[in-house]
Amino acid sequence: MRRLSELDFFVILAILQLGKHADAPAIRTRIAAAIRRPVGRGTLYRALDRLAREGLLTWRLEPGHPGRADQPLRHFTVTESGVTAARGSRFVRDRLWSGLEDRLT
Amino acid sequence: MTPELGFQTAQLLVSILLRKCLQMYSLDERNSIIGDLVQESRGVRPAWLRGVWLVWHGSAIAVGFVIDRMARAGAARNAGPAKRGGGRGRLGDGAQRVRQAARSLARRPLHAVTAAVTLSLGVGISTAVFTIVWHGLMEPLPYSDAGRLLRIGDRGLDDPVAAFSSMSMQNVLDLRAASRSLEGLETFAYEQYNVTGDGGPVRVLGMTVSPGFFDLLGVRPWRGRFFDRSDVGAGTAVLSHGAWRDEFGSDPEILGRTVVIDRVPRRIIGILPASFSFPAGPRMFTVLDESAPLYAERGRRMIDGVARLRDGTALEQARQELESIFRRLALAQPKANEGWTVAIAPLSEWMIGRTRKLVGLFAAATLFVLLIAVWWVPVSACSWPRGLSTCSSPCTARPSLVLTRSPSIQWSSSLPSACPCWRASLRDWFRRCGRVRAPLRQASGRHGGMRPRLDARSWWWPRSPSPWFWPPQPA
Repeated sequence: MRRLSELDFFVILAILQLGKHADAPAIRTRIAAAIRRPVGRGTLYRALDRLAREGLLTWRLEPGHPGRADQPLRHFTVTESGVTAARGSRFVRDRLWSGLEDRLT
Repeated sequence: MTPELGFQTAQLLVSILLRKCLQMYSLDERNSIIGDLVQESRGVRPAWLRGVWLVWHGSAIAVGFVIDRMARAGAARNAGPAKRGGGRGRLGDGAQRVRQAARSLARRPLHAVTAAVTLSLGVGISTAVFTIVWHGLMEPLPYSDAGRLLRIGDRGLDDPVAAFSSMSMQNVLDLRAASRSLEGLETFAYEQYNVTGDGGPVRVLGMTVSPGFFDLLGVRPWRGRFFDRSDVGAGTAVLSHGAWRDEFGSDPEILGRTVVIDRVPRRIIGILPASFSFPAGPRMFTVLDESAPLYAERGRRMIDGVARLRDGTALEQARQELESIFRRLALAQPKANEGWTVAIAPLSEWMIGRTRKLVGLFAAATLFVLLIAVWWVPVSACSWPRGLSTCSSPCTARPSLVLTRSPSIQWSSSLPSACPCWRASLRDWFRRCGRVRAPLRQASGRHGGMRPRLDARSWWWPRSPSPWFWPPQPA
């Protein structure tokens, strides 16, 4: 399994945090709020496509509402592989972080 | 064209453009992305800007998609067994591509020059026109709360063509005193000044303005101060930023210095900010004495007016009030005012209204060219991921990356004809062209030996449950 990029890692975490409300605009808002700078739509949709293609997340369609011109809504869910990949990324970070707590906190 | 028809046409255009931008996605993905964009564009006003926003961000997502596919194609080429270029990495492959392009362009220098000139002209003209459109139509005027600023003048009743004539100072004073819908009414007049400084005399376009003119516009001085009532008759002047830079060599000690303007010594008391602009670009300002004997006669129309609408007052309300006051003035002073009425319009309309149609025409022409580009680029980009999905050859992606002409005329010489799989991509391309051209052939009764496979509308007609997603219905 390939190592997650930082954005992929953030996307997976944001989807896990949002739970049932993990649609693309919400994910984008969540990540932007966390990193305190805007996330490009093209970048986010690329990441979502990539992760879905690699089987790290899935999506299901739900009917839209008038606020989005009745266009369907994609709800994203992280798969077991996605959770495993996120754990792996965290493990790597934790390992690199260890011993640096005094300097970096 | 009626406003309703124009609005529907814009709706259709935005729908088609957005779907065209996102056509690389599957139908479900595309509709959901469009829904996301519509949802996120709720705060964008006005409606036309929302349409532009939708198309712009749809294009950004499409560009992201294409970049991703390019990266994947590069990775697949490098990982696959049939590496070209002696097993070079992505950089090596790119360099090979550049060399190939250079060779093919060198083989056809006329083609290369034509393409380069066309691209340069297209990019240059598009940039120029959109710069003009931005500065002329879209950028807000450099005044505070410019939406409430009005241009006021006189208009002859028998002269419907001329929008604004100069006003009589006495009429202005009466309008200023009687109006309740205006927060302020100030006057100005263009002048040609002979300025004598250190060097020889210079002729400069200037304006004489009433003391409250700059305050009414909401402009703040860059250096020094602007006129007040005490400056009337005191011999003071204000410079534009350009005049300070060009005529006085950006002299940091300019404030308080005396220059001779039309043989009258005047002390410079302020400099306007560089962002300030006014029609015709006046560079020097003096204060206008509204009580001067020159303006005492009511029939002498020599000055122009700007006003600020009182907050919460509609333009039409102000117009009716001023016309009513002017009618009273005409009854009281028939000799000076008979046959005249007051003309009133937003300042922005006066400043850019005359060029709006011309600039709009240029912008429409440029937009049309861009529309053609938007139409064709995704088509060429799309033949490539699709080909990738059906064929694992490293060469499949090539046709979309080369400069191609219309397939009905000739393919570019840079198409790698030696590649064993380019025909598959070419077939895919023709299939797409068949989709695009099917309605035309169907309409003309000529099928050219290839029956259209799809419904005539399917290539452009929205296939979602709600065909018109812009503007969205209120939640």
